[in-house]
Amino acid sequence: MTARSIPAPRVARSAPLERLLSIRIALTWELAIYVALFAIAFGLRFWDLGARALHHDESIHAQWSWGLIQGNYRHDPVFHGPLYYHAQGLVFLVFGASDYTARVSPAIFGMALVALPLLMRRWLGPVGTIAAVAFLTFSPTVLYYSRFIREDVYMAFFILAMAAAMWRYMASGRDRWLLMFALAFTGSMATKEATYLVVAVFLVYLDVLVATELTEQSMKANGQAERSRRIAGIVFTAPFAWAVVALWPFLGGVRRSFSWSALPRSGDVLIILGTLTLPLLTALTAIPLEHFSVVDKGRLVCRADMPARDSMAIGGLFAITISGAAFVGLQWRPRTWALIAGACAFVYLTLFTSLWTNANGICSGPWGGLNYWWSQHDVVRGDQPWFYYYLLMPAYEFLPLVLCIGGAWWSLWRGNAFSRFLWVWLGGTWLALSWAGEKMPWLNMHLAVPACILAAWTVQRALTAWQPREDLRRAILPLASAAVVGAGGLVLAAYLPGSGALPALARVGVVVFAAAVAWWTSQPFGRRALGTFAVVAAVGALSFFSLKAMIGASFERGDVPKDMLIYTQSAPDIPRLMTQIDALAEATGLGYDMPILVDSMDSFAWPWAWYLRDYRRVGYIDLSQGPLPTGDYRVMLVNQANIPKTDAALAERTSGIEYAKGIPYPHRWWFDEVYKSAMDTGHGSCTAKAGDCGPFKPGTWSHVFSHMGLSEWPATWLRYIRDHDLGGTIPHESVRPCGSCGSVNAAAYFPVDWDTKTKSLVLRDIAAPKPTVDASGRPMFGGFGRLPGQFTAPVDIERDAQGNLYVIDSTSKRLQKFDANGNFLATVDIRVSPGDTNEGSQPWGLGIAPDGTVVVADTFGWRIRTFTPDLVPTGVTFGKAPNPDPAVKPGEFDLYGPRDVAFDRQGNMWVTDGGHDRIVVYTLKGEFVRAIGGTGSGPGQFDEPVGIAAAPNGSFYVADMFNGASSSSARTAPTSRSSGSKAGPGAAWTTSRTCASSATDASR
Amino acid sequence: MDDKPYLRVLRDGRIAVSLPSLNTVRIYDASGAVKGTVTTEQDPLSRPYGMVETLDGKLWIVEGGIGRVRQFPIP
Repeated sequence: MTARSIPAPRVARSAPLERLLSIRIALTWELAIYVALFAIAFGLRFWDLGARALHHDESIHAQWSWGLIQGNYRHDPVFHGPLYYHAQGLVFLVFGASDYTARVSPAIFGMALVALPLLMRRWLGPVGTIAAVAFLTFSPTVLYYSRFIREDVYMAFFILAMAAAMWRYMASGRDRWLLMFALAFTGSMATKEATYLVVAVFLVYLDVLVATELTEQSMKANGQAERSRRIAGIVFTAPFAWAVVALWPFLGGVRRSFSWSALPRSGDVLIILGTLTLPLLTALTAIPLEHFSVVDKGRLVCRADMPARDSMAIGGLFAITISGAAFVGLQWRPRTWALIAGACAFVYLTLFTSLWTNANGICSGPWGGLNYWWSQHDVVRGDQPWFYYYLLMPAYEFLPLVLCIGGAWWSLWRGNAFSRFLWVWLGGTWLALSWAGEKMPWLNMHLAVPACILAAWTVQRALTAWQPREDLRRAILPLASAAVVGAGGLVLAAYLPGSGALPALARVGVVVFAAAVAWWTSQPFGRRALGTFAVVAAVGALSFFSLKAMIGASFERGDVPKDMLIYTQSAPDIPRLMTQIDALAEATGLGYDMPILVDSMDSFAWPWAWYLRDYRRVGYIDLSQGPLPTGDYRVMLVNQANIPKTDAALAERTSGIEYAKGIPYPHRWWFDEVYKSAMDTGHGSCTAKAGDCGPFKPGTWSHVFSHMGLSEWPATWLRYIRDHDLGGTIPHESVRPCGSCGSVNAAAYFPVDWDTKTKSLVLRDIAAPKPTVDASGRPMFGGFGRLPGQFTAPVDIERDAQGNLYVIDSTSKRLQKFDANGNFLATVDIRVSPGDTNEGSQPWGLGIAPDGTVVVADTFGWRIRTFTPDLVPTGVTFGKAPNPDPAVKPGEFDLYGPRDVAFDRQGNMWVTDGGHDRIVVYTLKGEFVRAIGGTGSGPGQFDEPVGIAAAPNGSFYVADMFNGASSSSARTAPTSRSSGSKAGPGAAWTTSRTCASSATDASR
Repeated sequence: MDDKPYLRVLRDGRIAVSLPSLNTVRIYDASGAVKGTVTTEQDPLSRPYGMVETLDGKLWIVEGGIGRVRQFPIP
C-alpha cells in the first residue's frame, strides 16, 4: 500500500485590495492633527486659485504648458523647465485651460511639500513633525508660491524630498531611498537651474560628514576620543573626503593606514550626488576653453542648426564627464549605480526631449541650461542689493526664524548631525542665493522651507528637554495660556498708538510683562520647562502676524504689490479688461475672430498672450517701431510710451473704427524698492551694481547704526512687518490702487459705442453734447471724443465780442465754435488738405482780431491761418518752416513754432515765435510789420516765449518760459522785470513788461 | 502733453496764468504777486491751458488732460 500524499491545506491568499482594506489605522490625536492640517493645507492651496491676475512669468509658463499639449513646446533654457510644463500640461489635458487650472499643478506640489516632513519623523519627532507640517502649511512664502505657477514650488518639493531620502538612506541603508534621492535630484534639475546652488550646499555638507565619519572610524580603531584630535581629523580629511570616496576601492593602503574600515553611507550619497552632477557641469568646461582661445567665445551654444563640428565638440566634452562619473559609479556598486543612473537619465532625457520628440533637448538641457543660467549671473536681473533676503526672510518668515535663532544653542552646539545639516542647508542656500546675481522674491521659498524644518526641530527639542520629567497633559492649559499671553502682548505692543520715546517704552513694557507672565506660568513645572514655554509663547506671539501676512499676500491683494513678494506682477486690471474683451467679442458676434491689437513693446505681449490664447486674430506689434497699423481692431492695448502717438494717429484718422478715450491701467507693477535708496551710504542707491555698500564696507554698517533711532529704519521696518503696506498717497484711485509701487502702464482702447459699465453696445447720439455742469455745479462743455462739440486735446480758447467761444484742438486739428453757454455751433479742420497725411499740423494758439477774424497759430505746421467768424478759411495762410541752421538769422516769415496770438489796437497780430525767441508782428493780411526781441534774459529778450496777452492799456504780457528758470519742474511765482527783480530759484517763467511796453510805444 | 503756460490779462488788470504740469491756474497782480488760485475741492483741474474771461467776469478754462472746458469764478 502506497501512502498517499495528503496535499497541504491551501493557505488563503488575499487580493491586494483585500490587504489594503484590512490595514487598520489607529485613530490617534497625532493622526487627527495631521488630517486637520492637510485639510487646511488643501483649502489654502486650492481655494480661489484663479482670482489673482496671472503674473508675467506665470502667463508664459501657463501658455507654454498649454502649448505643450498641442505639440508646440520645445525646451528653452530661458524659460527653465521642462518638468513643470509637462506636469501642468497634464492638468490642462484633464481639466482644460483656465486661470484656476493654470495653478493646479503648483498647488498639488505644494500639498506634497507639506506632507514630506512625515518622512523625517524619525529626526523631527512627533511634535516636531506636526510643527513642520504646520509651518509649511501656513508659511506666507511657501503658500504664496504654492499658488503660483513658477518653478520654485516644484524645486522646493524635490529638494526637501532629497533631504528626506538622504537621511532615510543614511539611517536604513536601503537602496530605495538612494533611488528616491536620485530621482528627486533629477526632478529638481529638470525644473530649475538654481538647483546647482542647493546641490553645491548638499555636496559640501556630505563631504564634511564623510570626513567626520571617517575620522570617527579612525579614532575608534585607535582608541582615541579627544575633541581636539577629532576636529583636527575632520579639518584634515574634509578637503580630500570626496576623492577618498570616489577612489575608495583603489585606496586599500591609505584606508588601512588611517583605519578606515568601511565607506560610510554618507559616502554612498556623495557618490550618487557627485556622479549625477558631474555630467551636468559639462558646460563649465567651455569657460577655460574660451579663456585659452581653444574655441571662440560663445561658439559652443546648443541650437538645432549648429555645425557638426560643434556638436562633436560638445558631445566629446560630455563623453569625458559621463565616463568619469561612470568610472566612479561602476567601481562603487555597478548594479546599483547603473540602475539609478539609468533611471535618472531616462527621466531627464524624456522630459528635455519633450517625450522623445525634440532631439535638441539632449543638448539644450544639460548644456544650454547651465550655460544660460551662468550667463545670467552677470546680467544681475532685478539689480537687488546683497541684503535682499535679509529683508524678505524677516518680513515673512519671522516665526520660524525666531525659533531657529532662539534655538541655535540646541541645534548647533547641542544638536546632532541632522540639526546641523538643517543649518548648513539654510545658511548655505542663503549665502549662495545672496551671492547669485539674480535675486527674486520667489527664491525666498528655498530659504523658507529649511527654516520651517529647522524651527520644527527646535520645537521638538524644546519639548524633549523637559517632557520626560513632567506629564505633558497637565501642562497643556498653562502652555496654551503662555501662547495666548504671548499673542496678546505682542499684538498690544504692535498696535499701541503714539510715537516717540514714551510709547516705545510702553511697548517694551508690554512685551516684558507678557514674557514675565509666560515665565511665571512655567514656574510650577521647573526650570527645564522654561524652554518649552518660551517656544510656545514665541509661536503664539508671532502666529497672529504670520497668519496676517499669509492671508494678505495670498488672498487679499495677491496682485497688488504692497508685499515684497509681489514683483513684475500683472495688475488686476488685466483680467477685468479681459471680461470686457470677451463681452465685446460676444456682443459684436465676432467671437474669437474679433481683431485685437496688442502693443508688444517692452514684453507687453505677456500676459495678454495667455489671456487672448483663444483669439485667432490678435496682432502683436511693437508700436514704437512704426506708425499705428491700420486695421479693424476692435480693441487696442497700448504701452504708455505709445499712447500719445496712438492718440495723435487716431485723431487724424477720417475713417475706420472710432475709439473712446483709452482706459489707463497699470500693466505690470512691483513693490516699491525704497530699501535701495534707504541704504544710500553716500554713493547713491544701494543695488547689486552700484552704491558701494557691500557687507564688508565699514561705511555700510556705520550707515545702518547711525539710523537706528526710534523714528528711523527700525520703526519703519517693524511697521512694515506689522502691516505689509508702505502706505503712500494714491494719485488716481481707479488707476493705481497701490500708492507707492512702481509700474509700467498702458491704455485699452475700445470702440466708442462700447459701454464698459453695462458691457453692451450702445447707440451713441451723434449730435453734439449739450453743456452741462460738474459735480460742484460749475458750467462745462465738451468731453473727450470726436463728435462735434467734443475734444481730443483742447489747448486754447478765445471769445469774440458777442461772447461766442472758439476752441482749438491740437490733435484733431479742429477749430470749433460755441455760443456763450457752450452750445456747439460750428467746426472746421484747420489744415489746408485734411486728407493729406503729409501735411504737418499741430495748432496750439488762438487769437481774435478786432473785426472778428479767428487766427490760428499752427505751431508745428509753422504757420498762421485765419478764418471768418463762421469758421470759413479766409485764404490767408503764411509762415514757413525754420531754417535748420541755427546760425542763419530767421527770416520774416520763418516761424519756429508760432505758439500764441494777440492783437494790438491797430489790429496787428503779435505772434510768439517760441524757437526763435522773438515776437513777430503781422497785419491781418499776413504782411510782415516787425520782429521784437531775441535770445537772452535781458530786457526785451526772450527764452522760449509762449503765451501772449494784450492788456487794456495797450501793453502785452508774455509767458517767457525758460527765463529765470532754475528748474523746469518747479514753478513758483512769476516776477515782473519792470520792477527790476529777477525770477528766483524755482521760477520757470517770468512776465516781461519792459519789452512789451516799449514795443507798444513804437507801434503807436 | 506739453507743459507750456498760457496767460490772459483780466479786465481788472490782473493776469491769469495756467500751469499745466501743476494742474492749477494762478492769478497775479501786475507786480507779479500771487493774488489767488483757481482751486477745486473735488474734480481737480486736469492740465489747464488756454483761458478766456466771460462778459460777466467768469473764467473759462480749457482742460487738455480731460478734453473739456469748464467755467470758474475768478478768485
